Amino acid sequence: MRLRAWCGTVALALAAAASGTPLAAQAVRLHGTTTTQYVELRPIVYDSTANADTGAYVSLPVAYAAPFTQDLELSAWGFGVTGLRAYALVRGRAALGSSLIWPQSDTHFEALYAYLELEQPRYLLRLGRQQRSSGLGFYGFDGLTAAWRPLAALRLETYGGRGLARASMESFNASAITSLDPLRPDQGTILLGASVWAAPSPRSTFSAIYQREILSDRSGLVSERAAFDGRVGVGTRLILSGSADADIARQQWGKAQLSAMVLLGHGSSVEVEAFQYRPALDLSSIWGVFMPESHAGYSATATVAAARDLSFTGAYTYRHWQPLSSGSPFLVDVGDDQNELTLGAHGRLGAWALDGSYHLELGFGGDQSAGDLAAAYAPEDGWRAGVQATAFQQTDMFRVASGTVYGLGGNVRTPLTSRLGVSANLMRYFHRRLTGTTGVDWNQTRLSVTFDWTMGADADRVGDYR
Amino acid sequence: MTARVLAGLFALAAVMGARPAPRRPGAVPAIRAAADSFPHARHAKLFTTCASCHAGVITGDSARFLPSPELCATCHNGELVRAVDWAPHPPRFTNVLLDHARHLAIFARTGVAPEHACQRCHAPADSAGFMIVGRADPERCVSCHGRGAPSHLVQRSCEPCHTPLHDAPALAVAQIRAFPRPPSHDSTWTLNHGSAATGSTCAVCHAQQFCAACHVNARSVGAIQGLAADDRVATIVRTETVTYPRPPSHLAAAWPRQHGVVARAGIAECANCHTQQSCLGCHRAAERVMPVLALPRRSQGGAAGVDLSGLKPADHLPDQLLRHRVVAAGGTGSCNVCHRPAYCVSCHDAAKAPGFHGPDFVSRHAQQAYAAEAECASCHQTQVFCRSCHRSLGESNTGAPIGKFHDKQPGWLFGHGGVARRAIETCAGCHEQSFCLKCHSAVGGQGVNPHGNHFDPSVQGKNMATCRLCHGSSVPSR
Repeated sequence: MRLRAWCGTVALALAAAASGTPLAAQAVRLHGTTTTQYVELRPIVYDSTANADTGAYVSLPVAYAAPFTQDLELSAWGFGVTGLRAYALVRGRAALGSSLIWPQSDTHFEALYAYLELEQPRYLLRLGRQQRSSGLGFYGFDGLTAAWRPLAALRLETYGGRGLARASMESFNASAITSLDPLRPDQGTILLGASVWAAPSPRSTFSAIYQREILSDRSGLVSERAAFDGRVGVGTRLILSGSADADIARQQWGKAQLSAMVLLGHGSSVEVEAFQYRPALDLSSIWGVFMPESHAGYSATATVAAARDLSFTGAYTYRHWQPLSSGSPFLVDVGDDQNELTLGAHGRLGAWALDGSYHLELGFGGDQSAGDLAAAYAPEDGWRAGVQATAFQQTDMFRVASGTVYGLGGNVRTPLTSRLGVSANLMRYFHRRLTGTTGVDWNQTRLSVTFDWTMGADADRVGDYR
Repeated sequence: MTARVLAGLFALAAVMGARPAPRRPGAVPAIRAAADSFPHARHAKLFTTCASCHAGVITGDSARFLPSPELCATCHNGELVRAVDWAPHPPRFTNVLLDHARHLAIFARTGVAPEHACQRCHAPADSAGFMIVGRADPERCVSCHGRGAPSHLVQRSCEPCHTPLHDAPALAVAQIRAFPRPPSHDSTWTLNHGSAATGSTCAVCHAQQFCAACHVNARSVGAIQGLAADDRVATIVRTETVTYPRPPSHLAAAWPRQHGVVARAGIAECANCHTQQSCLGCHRAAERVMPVLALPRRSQGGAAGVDLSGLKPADHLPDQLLRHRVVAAGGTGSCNVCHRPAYCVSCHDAAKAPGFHGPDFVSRHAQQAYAAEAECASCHQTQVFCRSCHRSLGESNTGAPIGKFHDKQPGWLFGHGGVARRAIETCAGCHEQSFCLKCHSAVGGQGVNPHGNHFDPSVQGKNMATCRLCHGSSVPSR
């Protein structure tokens, strides 16, 4: 049924696009992205007879996944009412002979957006499937959004409808989710929210959002959250940012951050930040009753633009958890801190670009050291051909799965016309195992090929920031 | 060797820097004064009237405007006076409309003696001596025509004296390029010339191509279409670079947010400098800003229009990639002015955004997940996304004895609680809720209490169905 609906939508869209030469009062644009991936992985399985019958994880033969994704974006406007448009972004998925299940590849049709929108200078109405992105994360719903803009820099908005599972386009009680977690509620949710956004100056922005999610039979609360984000420009050099979200249902603060960035001019800047992290877990699962702890930390980031096309970046982050080892003698070498260091450089000479970075993490969860290097020939006409190399070493804290991996590959992007582009990326990773059998073999080949095309009315905003 | 390289670089830089300087629309190089090729003053005592040599001026015979070499040779024959190699200059093409006979008649009616009539225009001043003359200075014209004007270039109308450019086909490109720039064409002229560009005066110096070099809407502006096309002007503008001045209104800090009101009130004004492509630098114009469709499209060979590509709002600071949520959280309006939802999806896409996390994140992500460097659940539905892959790879709970997977921690069964409280999301990436309930359930498990010291039953009581998963129908009140 889903596949049939998807095919019907595609057929309608293609028919509309085929006749999509802009008419006097109507225009249709269809934009598609076709992506095919090839991913090699080597699963593991527990063998109770291995390791002298004491049991151990062993590797299975190399398997592969070949997920195919077709995104179709449809925009239609000019229905005789200024500001009225229809928009849909739908996705079709398939597994091309995969021997592994790639996440969501068995969900053959998904509507990321599908709405009718009326936008006027002072207000906006949007009806249909939509997503709400904010400090609370991504929430999708089928319903109505109404926005009122009494001033150019003030927007009040409310939204609500049938809720979807958080960060997913599946309904809250979809079989795709309940099959992986049978204890989820067997009913859907209703999502309601409101937000305010104000920008008193070009560099100062504030937003606040409140959102409530209840079971569709109103028998229980799923989540009740609020978030605040603010950014203030002080003079021309200093930017202060702050954000926080609160789990009102659990009566506790979630994530929060406060930062100050100094713009040194010519692309150089320094930023310091303090933050706290606590996961947001809704009341419909048992995860929250384990009373997750928060952690806090700070970071400092410096970007130095040594020349117009040469910049260096360095960042250090420190995280701290409540002491654990003292209360749990059963854990080995589990520290309470984590240190993270990132160094990067970007240079460009004409059409040639060179990027390099190094990332080091030491602390809770394990240790990781990784370096990446990429060189590309990328003239301004959109063509790009590059090579990339990577190497990383990591040690897990809770299982023996250490290893060193080297990777080498290339990428190419060819805008054949203004409405058709092809890009491809190939990487081969070589795993040099150090110890352990619990981890997955990281010897992998990864390939992705993407076609990006546009049909119908004038191409949308050009460039990367569409 | 180094010196040679440096010298080469300097030479290259000089060549690259030798491009024509950017020109503000309307700018014309200053005129150069023409020198008199004949020593009139030295012949003042020889001739008594100008007509001795310039008889054609009076009779209208253009062939006799200037004396012939033979006439000079009657004296300059090498015997009487030294021979000279003088010849009248070739006909000088101008766009000046001048009727000598009519002027002479007017002078005659006003009592000017014939021998002084020529000097009224060709002498630097009325008081100059006889035959202190040269090419007529336009400034002398305004002594009669300009009603006391300080310069002939300040005249509002040029046509009485000058023919339109189109009617002066003999003028060379260099002559046109050397046209003087009127004082009115100052630095503010470009932004304000529209109201003055209504008559035919412009056509004296300008042609369609001159205006079309800047005006992207040249084809729809009557004043421009009223001008004739001229290949000589096309040649001039082709070699010059146009830079568009910013009107004062565009300099205001609030202009990026306020320009929409102005544009809606009169998009025609915008169409002088902006094409649809200008707006497409930011707006998805056709869908959201219908008036933009009234703007002309950039055409091949036409004016490029103001290039706004690369322009970013003032709040898009260097850390915008990481901090944009403050803007995005405000709702649907602000981001969608420029970006489609599909743009957000290109990164915020759980299943199809390999570029967001960097190379081989599949193998590297465990560390980032444990440390919660970002909130995975914001974009990834953990049950669907994480668990399905972990299950497919055999990393999820697959029936192995407890602790076999976490084999680096010998006491994992008894020590996992603290780790779970720090990183419960990573637990949920592999384990179903029912797995934990094998022990942490009051009715179906071992009754191991999972609640921490600060557990508040009234909070979880807002959704009793979850309580019943562990406690069945006997949910304790405290």
